[in-house]
Amino acid sequence: MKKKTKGNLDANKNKIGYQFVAHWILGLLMFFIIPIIDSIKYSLTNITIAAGELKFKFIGIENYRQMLLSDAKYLDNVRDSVSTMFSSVPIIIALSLILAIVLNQKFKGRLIARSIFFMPVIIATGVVMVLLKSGYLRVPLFNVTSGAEYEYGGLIDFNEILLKLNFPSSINGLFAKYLSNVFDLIWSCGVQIILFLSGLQSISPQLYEVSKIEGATKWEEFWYVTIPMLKDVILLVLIYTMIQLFTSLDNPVVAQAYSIMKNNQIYDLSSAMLWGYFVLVMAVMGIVLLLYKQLCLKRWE
Amino acid sequence: MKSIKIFNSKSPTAKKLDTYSANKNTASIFLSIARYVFLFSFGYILLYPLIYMIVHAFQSADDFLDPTVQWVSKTYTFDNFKLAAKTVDLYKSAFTSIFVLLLSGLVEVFSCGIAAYGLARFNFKGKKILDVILILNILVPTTVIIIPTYINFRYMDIAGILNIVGTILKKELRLNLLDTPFVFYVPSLLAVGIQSGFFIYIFKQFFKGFPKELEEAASIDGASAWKTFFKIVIPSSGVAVLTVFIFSVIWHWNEYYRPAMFYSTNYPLAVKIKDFFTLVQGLGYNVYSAEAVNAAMAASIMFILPVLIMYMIMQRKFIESISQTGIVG
Repeated sequence: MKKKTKGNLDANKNKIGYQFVAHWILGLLMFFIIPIIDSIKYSLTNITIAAGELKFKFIGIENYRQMLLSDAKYLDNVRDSVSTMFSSVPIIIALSLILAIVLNQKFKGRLIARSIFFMPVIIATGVVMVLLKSGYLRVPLFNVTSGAEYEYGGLIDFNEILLKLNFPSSINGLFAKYLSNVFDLIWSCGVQIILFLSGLQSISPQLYEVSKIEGATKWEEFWYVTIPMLKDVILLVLIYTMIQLFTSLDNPVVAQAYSIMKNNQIYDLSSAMLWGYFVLVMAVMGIVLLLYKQLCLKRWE
Repeated sequence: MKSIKIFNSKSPTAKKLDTYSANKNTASIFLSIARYVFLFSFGYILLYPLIYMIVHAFQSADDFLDPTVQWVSKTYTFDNFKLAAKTVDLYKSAFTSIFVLLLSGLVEVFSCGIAAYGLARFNFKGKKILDVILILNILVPTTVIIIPTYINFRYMDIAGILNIVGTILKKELRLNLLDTPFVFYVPSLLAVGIQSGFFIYIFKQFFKGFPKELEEAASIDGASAWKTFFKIVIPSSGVAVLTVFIFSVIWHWNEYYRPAMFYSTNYPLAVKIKDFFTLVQGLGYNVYSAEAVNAAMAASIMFILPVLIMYMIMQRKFIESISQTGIVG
């Protein structure tokens, strides 16, 4: 008898939860779930604009076929963005982890250093970066990407250096591109550094004390204490970085879809492009996370 | 933080006992030099654009063309700021930025907090589905759903009721919310605004780690769930609120994608900055001219200054609070 009342009380108490999430559920329906369904619908229809109203005609997977077979740029863009991801994510994670470890140490001027290194959070996520990277200003720090043309810029002309070092010119371009990208990548490390830093601060100092007593070197300490303790943060950073790279407006696929949507008002094809891309992104992220779980997490257990 | 201090500090005797102390000293000097070199070189890359902006913002057009001037200008001027303010229509667009974007950012902090509390504390039916949708909400990029959302705002309806009544009365009852602040207020109020999935996630992780005993004590004393939330939970979750607040301000202030879609006039500052060169061209300047470039830098300074100042003030607390929110496990 008693148990039953308690169960009822619990159920009643849990029902209050609906009050807290009611507005969010309404919002999700209005601004998330229905738009998603609509967007999938758009990608399967032919949309014509007549007298200000949109007219829909169901055409099946025609848009997807057109995007894969007749669009010359789409597949290139997809390949580019996936390959950029694979080359950038390890660099971003390694770089932000190293910077976070350095910024977590005690030294004079740490506060100033920290505020400098979080600057990307303010500048890079924002519109000022768009301005700085635009072709009008030749800020010598950034690569200027104007359309499909890739121009080398950057603080250091790696192309020149590699040429002087007598590198074969065929691989020169590739190396120069990646090396000069490193400068761009530092700018995408802001939030990651913050996440790593707060992860480092939550590691209990006792663990380091124990490893010291056991006679571990700094190197071993890093691999056997720091990294395993950061495994959740690394996962979070991994996901965050991939989303950031895949969904930013700098991404070639997103940019292409956005431009045909905004400039040419082709809603059906752009929806198809984004959905096709999104499914691929999910697959890639799934594989990466699975690999991370299998290869790294298990070893650190 | 305190405990780290205790473990790292060595008493003088301990130092003497350390047979390797001489070796270690050299190593530590070397390490600290390496650290400064490392930080300086990366810091330079990060500070470069800011220095570039500041130099050009105060530079006169003559100095821009003068090849002998690199970092230090010969004359300083405020003309660039005047031109920048004129180009972006400063008062009007700053007004939109503050009262539309920042305000909805503030609203979002609370609406997300409430939703997250519901998810973190109560075990109702369908909660698992909501958790999955939350992750999806973080993952699905805005671009994917921007067109349906646009059409949604153009013909705003409440569960199709206005449409049905409208067809019966043969009148368009559905509202056109485009170009009104409601395109930001309504989603923010319903916790589905800019980056709200991420905010709900932060709050949820924090509330999960929040000691349940406090709330139980309050509910034994007869406080309702809402009263507990506002009187007990919110006052003690300063760190989570601060973290979300700072992210929210930065992201709302910088948002140019949605305003550019949903507004056709009366753009906020971010959109104007993005289109700066087009706008300055409209005023009759060449986009490659010294005046235009310097004014663009002045506009950038004006744009990031408020956020930068806020960030500088709260920077220290910000890092501490992120580690306390428990998003990083």
